[in-house]
Amino acid sequence: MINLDRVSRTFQTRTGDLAALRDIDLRIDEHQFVAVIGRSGCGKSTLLRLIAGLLTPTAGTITIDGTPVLRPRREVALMHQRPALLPWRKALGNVMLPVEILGWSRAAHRARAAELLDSVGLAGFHERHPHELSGGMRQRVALCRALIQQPRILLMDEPFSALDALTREELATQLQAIHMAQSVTTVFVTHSIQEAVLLADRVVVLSPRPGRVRQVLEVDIPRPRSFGHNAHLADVARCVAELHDLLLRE
Amino acid sequence: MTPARARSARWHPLGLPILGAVSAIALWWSATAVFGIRPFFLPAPPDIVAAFRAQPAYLLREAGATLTETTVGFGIAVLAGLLLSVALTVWRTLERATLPVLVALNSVPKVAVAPLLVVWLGFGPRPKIVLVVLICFFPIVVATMAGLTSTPAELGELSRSLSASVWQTYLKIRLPWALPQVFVGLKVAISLAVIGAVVAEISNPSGGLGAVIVLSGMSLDTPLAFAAIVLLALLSTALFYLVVALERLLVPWARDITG
Repeated sequence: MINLDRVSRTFQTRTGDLAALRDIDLRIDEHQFVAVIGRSGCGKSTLLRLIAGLLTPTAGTITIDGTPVLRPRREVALMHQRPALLPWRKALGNVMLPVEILGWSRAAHRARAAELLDSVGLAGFHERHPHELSGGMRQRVALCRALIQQPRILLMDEPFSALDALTREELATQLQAIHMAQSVTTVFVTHSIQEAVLLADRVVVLSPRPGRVRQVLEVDIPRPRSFGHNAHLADVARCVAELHDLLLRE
Repeated sequence: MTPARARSARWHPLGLPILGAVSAIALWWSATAVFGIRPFFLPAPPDIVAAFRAQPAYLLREAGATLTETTVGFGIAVLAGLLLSVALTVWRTLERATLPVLVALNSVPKVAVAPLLVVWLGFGPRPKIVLVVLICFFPIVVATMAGLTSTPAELGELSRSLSASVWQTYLKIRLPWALPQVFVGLKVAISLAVIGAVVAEISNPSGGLGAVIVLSGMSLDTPLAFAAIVLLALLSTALFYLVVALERLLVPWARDITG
């Protein structure tokens, strides 16, 4: 579905050219959940913005279903580390923002927006303003805002990294449930090994600057996975250890 | 709750300001009485009330003239300032070309322009309105541009990834996001607007409270000048709190997010 062919991206800075990504080859199949993991500054976010069409590669090509990505597309949704909700809109109104921008019928999508909020445990919080919600709740609203446009591809840039550990686990588990139900193709940037192993079908390990694909690890642990005691604890531990070695090598 | 807050919580919110104003007037009044200051030098509060009651219709009409110049000029400045700020943030090349010119123009003292405006625009209310526009335009533009450029990067990416039009981005995200800062500019501008109107009236005393002050000064009618000054202060204060009320109405969320 998503295909990256020898993609490089360089940024011009005052101190000269900075290579963020070099020769990335990557294939992401439909319905797959791919985690991209690497140290800070290895170009993870750049990779996401390239797929989103917000940046263009300096070399190589990115295609979605065979057509090159030259600009943002409506079937691709983006979610950030900070929820970036509109403070003057209530939770439901924030979820409806993409509907309004896309010029879809509000009446037709209102029920779905409410359903989405209910599905992430925000029933009863539809009419609350962002400042009345906790950090985890705001990020859930942001997730619903990304899902309302019914994306075929969901791009997530460290969406849980600003949250406390327990809320992170809770949200990751919820995201897993949503992915199992809807199986939207997802690219999930993180630097949490735990999150990557819980969520991903494949984990792409990037090397530090310039980012290259160091290894792609298949995670074939059956779902639903969990952080707690379960039948596959040994598999989880093996994956975590392997990623740990890959990331901390050199 | 700290002891200080507990103490002030017992007062009505208007209690302390009123107490302050009443004591200031009492101090002033007793000073004129104790030192025997003559009214043409510093009139006591009753002299000022008497001056107002001698010709209330005249004073209110002139106050009305000042109010009209101020609000019309302020309204034009708000409209033009908002439009220009949006234009400057949409076309950054335009910004680079015009902002230095604007800064240079703004550094010209507006008081110095007042007589020229009379030469160009005649003796009616027009030069006065133009001076009001000139004096409050810049703070509105500076504040609005600061607000429009403070949109979080995430929201910029969100609207780009949804292929939102410039119109949608400004209407749904950037302008509302800028409103708290716009109001900072409006609060500075409304106080300057009254000053601009009075400066114009003083250099061109054909009407308004500024003209009353000039004319009463010539005839040494200090109580009348003070009556005009008091009316100006009331007018300016009322306009300022009108802007504050409008801010509470339009941007109730600004106080929520700043805590």
